Amino acid sequence: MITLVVFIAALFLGMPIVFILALGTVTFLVEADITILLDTLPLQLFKSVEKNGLLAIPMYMLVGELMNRGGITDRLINLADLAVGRFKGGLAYVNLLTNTLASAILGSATAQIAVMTRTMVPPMVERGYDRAFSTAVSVAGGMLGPVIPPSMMMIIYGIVSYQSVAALFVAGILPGLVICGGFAVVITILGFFYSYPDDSDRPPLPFWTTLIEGLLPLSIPGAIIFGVVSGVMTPTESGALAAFMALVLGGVLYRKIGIAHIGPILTQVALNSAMVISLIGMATVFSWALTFESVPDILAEAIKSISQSGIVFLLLVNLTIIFLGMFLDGLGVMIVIVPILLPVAESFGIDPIHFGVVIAVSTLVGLLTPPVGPGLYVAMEATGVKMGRLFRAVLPFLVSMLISLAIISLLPALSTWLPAALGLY
Amino acid sequence: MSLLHALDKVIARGERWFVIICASAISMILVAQVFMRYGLSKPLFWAEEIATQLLVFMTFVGLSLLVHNRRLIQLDFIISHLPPKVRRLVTVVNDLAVIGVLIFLVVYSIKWILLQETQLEMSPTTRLPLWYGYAALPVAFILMTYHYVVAALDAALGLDDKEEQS
Repeated sequence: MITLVVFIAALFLGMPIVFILALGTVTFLVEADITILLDTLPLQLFKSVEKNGLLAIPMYMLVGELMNRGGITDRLINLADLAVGRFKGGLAYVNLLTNTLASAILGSATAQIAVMTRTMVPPMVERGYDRAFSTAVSVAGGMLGPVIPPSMMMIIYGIVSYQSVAALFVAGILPGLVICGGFAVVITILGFFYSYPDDSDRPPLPFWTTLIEGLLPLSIPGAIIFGVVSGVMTPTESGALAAFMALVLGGVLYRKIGIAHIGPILTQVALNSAMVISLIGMATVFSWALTFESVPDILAEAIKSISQSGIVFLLLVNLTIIFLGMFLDGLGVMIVIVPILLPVAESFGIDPIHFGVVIAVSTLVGLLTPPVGPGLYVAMEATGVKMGRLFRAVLPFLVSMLISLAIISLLPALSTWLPAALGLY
Repeated sequence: MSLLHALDKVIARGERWFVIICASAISMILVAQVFMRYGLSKPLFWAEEIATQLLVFMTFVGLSLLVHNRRLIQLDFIISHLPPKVRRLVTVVNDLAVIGVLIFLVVYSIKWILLQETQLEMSPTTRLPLWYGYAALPVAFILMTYHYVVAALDAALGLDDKEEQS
């Protein structure tokens, strides 16, 4: 009880979460009078960071940083344009499809929103689309990143929950398409109000060059997915291979990455990995301490006294994550919450793969909700649309996202059928 | 005071170089490993172990640099809406609490490493003592404590507000 008070007080006072977890662990062990375990705390911390599975994290961070440096979005836009760009409102769908393709590569929603709003909004405004609407479409499209494979979110969930990354990658595909389909419906419905410009008269693109240039960057996520799903390589090894391919593509072929970029890229990779891995380490230690007093069991009993239904439990989890996600980084919320809630979820008979997909989707909602909403801020900075106007434009997409989340939560088969059919778990 | 700041900056610069070296070494080892295993079928037996140890160092030294850069994930929404004087007080209280946690971690990790049975542990693959890797913890926690002490002093003396203005 004291632990909970300390935890919440420290959280609201703005203490970094890594240290709240350390403080919480110490407080809990003292409160439960098992101080003898304090001596093994450093060992536990070391062991939870010294896992070779965690090596995948810097590798995927590196792939993301290398691909972010440009040279790929233009080619993906042309590829999407080739497919869906030639009718009324075409560019809005091009934006959405490009985001779907880019999510396979970029993996971080905020990074993707930053890149896509900068490249997609100016040409849309030039063609006569509303600026706030164009920005909203780009922001919504960025939501797909953490669901469509290969996704950093799924890799980290796989590590903290001991689930197969291959199964999680595949599990995200159908839910990703549901979200994407929902957004396409929103664009179509909004078309009755905005009257989109007719994009069918634009000059055609050369078919084969566009296709080949677009497919080349897609070979990188393709290699990762193939390596992991076929079981030929571990997630870390396919990450290393993809990083090498990305370096060749960005450095030799597109000439976008030079020696001068290497330092900043590696600093970003190291710091972002350190942020995530230290959080995983501390969260693991915290839940290790909690199990000594069987807190997960007590928590499960408490929730079961409210309702026996797994659906009610998922609803509670979603509401908690959406609320926390309004103020905190989604990845951080997931890392802290999964070790504590996964045992509870399993006692409700919820499949861990399904649970992972639900959590990945619900952490995204926070990116679009004020007051903090990092997704909104990144987009505002890139396009100069004011917060109120942007939020109103994003609102239909947010509603669609919540409907998709409900569908994904209620239909476990949407997440589990494909990986089961491929024999991945 | 300026001496404390100068040392703070020197440490941060050292940490930055250290994590860059770790990140590039990890990347090169893992890429080399893929080519040795799948290209030449001669896997490097030490690759994963060394890379994992480097990752531990990169994580904790990186965490220290994140402390210095004030880039850790935290709930700053409430704090940023407080009046400046209250905010300064809350920051100092916060920093002191973290310093307490860090000192605990420093003391307990040193105690753990100095245990005789810890000193005798050896890696089965590389035959190196395991405490070389364990040392990452106390070293990084000491660096973090230093960053926090400087930051807490700044907040207590109101120096951080001036920095924001300039």
